[in-house]
Amino acid sequence: MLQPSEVVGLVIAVILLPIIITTSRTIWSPLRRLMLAATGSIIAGNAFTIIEGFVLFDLFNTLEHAAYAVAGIFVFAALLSLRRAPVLSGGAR
Amino acid sequence: MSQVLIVGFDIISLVAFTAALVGVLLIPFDHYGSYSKIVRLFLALAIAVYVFAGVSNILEHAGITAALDPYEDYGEIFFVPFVAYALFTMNTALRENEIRRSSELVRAEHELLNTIVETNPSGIMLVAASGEIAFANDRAKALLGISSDEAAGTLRLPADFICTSTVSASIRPLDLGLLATGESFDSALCVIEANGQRAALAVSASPLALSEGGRQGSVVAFVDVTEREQARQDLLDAQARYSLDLEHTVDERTVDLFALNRELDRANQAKQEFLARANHELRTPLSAIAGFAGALLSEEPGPVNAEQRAQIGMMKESSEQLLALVNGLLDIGRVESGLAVVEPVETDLTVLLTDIADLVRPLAGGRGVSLTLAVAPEMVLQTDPDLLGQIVRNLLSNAIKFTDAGGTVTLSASVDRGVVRIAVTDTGIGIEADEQEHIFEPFIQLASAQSGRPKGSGLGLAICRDLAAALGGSVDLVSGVGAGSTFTVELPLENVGEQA
Repeated sequence: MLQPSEVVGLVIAVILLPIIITTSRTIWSPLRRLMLAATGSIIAGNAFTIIEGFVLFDLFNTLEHAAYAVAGIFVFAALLSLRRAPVLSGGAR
Repeated sequence: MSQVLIVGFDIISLVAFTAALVGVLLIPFDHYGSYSKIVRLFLALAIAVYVFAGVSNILEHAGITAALDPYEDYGEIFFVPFVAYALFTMNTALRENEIRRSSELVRAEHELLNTIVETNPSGIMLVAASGEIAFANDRAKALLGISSDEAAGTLRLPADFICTSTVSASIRPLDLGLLATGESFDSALCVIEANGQRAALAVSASPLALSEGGRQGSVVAFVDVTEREQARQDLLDAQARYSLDLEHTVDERTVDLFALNRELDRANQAKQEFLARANHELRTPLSAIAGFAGALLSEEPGPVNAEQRAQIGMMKESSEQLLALVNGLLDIGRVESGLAVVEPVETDLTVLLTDIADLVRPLAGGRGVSLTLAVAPEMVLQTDPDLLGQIVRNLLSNAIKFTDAGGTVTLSASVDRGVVRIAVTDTGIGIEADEQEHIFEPFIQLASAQSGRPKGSGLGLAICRDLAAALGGSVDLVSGVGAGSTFTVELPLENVGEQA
């Protein structure tokens, strides 16, 4: 069943996505790509949880949870990549 | 089945986010400096949202409880904003770090440039488009006497400052109005007067970058060349003094030389007069001695015995040698004093050489020497036949004298490429190489040629050389010991022709 919090969450995510993309350009490339992938997965999960209220509940519900699992893996990988970065893009120390 | 799959995904999600949360708490975020705590906080909050969501979903789909589900839905709204904050903060930290490093670099470069300008031995100043001095290093201030107006915050030249170009009075390299327009010049020399001091400067200027309103003044650099210019001026003065001294010295020497030359002329004239008089006084008695000796030998006055004949013969021979010497001295004196007047006439060279050969042939025959003539017929030469004849006779006489009996003396003449060559070649004893250098000098008697041969005056070849020079030609020698000698008289062809 469609819930307002899910719609609000998706709207906020979609609005902030361009800002995330533009402001992260100076960040070390592997970290940036993994964080964007994790954010994309979360937004996809939000989309799936809204869609499941209209069609194919089981499928989209399963996809929603799979998207969260993938997002978790991306976040973990992003933090691992951060450990390998001696100096981040832009020369910050 | 789907519930099991979903629970599996939830477990994976929970484990991954939990591990990430632990990682965020453990990994140092020193890269971001003072922003590291903020980055860590927002990343930890974002990840914690889905740690909580994982726990809630596992409890819900495992059928334990769904009590956390409403909080989970609201919590998930904050994930993307937290991530956005974290990334934005990272970006801010990086930008700030870049700005800080750039500022440090600019400051370091500014300090370096300032050090270079202040320690530079050249005066450097910046003239703004308004004509004001915007900057001057210490050297420029010292050289130009620039003072600071603390109240107005400007730099000023002294009131009595004067800058005059050494090239043109219309050029003023340090005129602020000129420099304000962005004039460009390189090492322009000028003399400045400031605060009662004078100095010579070499001034260079380059315009500042163009702006919308046109040129923005100039950067001016100048060096003190007072010592150099003073040294240059001293050098020019010394050169001028030296030139005057030299001219004076040359004038004095010229006067001395003229006086000396006049004395030499007088001395030479006196010598010639003495020689002429002495020779005249000598020739008369010598001729008498030779004549009377000849008469005695002819026994006209009466018979003489063998001993008397021998002694009279020696007396006659000695008197003849002495007479030849006197004649030689007369000739060489005449040539050296320029009294040997060359009178060129059209001369048949073939006839001249044939007559000379006929004249000396008895002499050659008397010494058992064969004389041959190899001259092209009808060669005509515009020359003085008397002088040329004297040269050829001397050369033939020498050749016969130094050729042993049975030898040959050849007189030849030819014309080749503008030069007529008259050669006297003998098969005599030859002349050593070191003696050939001095053979044409007066009174030279070759030691190697004296044994058993008539003694000469030592003037014959010297006379030949001088007479050949008087005719515009020369005499050369080619000889080798035991290989004979060839004396060649060369005369210019311009006076030589062949009759048609």
